[in-house]
Amino acid sequence: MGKMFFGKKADSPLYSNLIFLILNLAFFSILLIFVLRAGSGSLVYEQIYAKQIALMLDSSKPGMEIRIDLSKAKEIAEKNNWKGELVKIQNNLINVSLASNGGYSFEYFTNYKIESSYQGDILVLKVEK
Amino acid sequence: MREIFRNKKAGEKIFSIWWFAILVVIGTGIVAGVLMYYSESVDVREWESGIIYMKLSDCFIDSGFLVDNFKDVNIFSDCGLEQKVFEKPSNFYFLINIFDENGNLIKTYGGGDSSFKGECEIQEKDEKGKAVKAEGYAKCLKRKSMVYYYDENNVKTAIIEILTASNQFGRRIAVV
Repeated sequence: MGKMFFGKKADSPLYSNLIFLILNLAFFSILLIFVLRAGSGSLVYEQIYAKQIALMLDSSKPGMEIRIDLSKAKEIAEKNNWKGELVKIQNNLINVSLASNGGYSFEYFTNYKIESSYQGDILVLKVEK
Repeated sequence: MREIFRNKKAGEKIFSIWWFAILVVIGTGIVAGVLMYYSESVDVREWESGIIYMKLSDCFIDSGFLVDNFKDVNIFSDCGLEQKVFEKPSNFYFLINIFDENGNLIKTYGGGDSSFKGECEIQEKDEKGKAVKAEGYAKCLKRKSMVYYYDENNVKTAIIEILTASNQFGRRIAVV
């Protein structure tokens, strides 16, 4: 196999060991990044915030003002160097993104007009008919 | 010592396809475990069915009486539901049947993915109280309530049956 990629040099045990080490390191690094990312909560929190906001909007009534503390979300976003919008509400979809490589999308079914704004770390949602 | 390192066969043994097969098994196991752990607890489909039920119930019933225009309700605008979300392919479903005191159907309303109706029926409890559990099927809520309504100044009784279902899991998106 080493010969196939590196010609005669790959016959040397140094090269085959090196390739073996690099591939193993790459594999375990990818695995570690995945587990750390999952453990750090961005995957989970994106989902939890999206569903929480959607459920709140669905059960809301016109005239209500919903205030959601996003300090944990901001903390995770800062850890991931994400400076974009954390929560987007458009076309009956809640998109929550706490990292640069995507986010979580969840649909809500209420037809009330939703106006969103921020007061520090608090997301303020005003529900209007 | 040099002899060991120059032994080509030993190097090839370690650097074999079997080692990578083991890595794949370990990797798949860890990824599957992590994904299962973190995706397990956030199933809100039952809550959504409950919220749809609550909205429809509030829309049709007022203090034990059916609303005056119960035969002519614009189900989406009057009940605060977004019509396009209930157009196919939808993650939601509802069916409202209103029966008179003799069990005759007076009015029916429906919306969403009607295939969920079958899924709900399958999951309903039989006479022995046993129900089929199906993970991928929509989560349903069915309630019957006895209500009153005015018919030419006479108070009559009716049964309103509301079935709601949700099968929304949400999805990850690449770019927001």
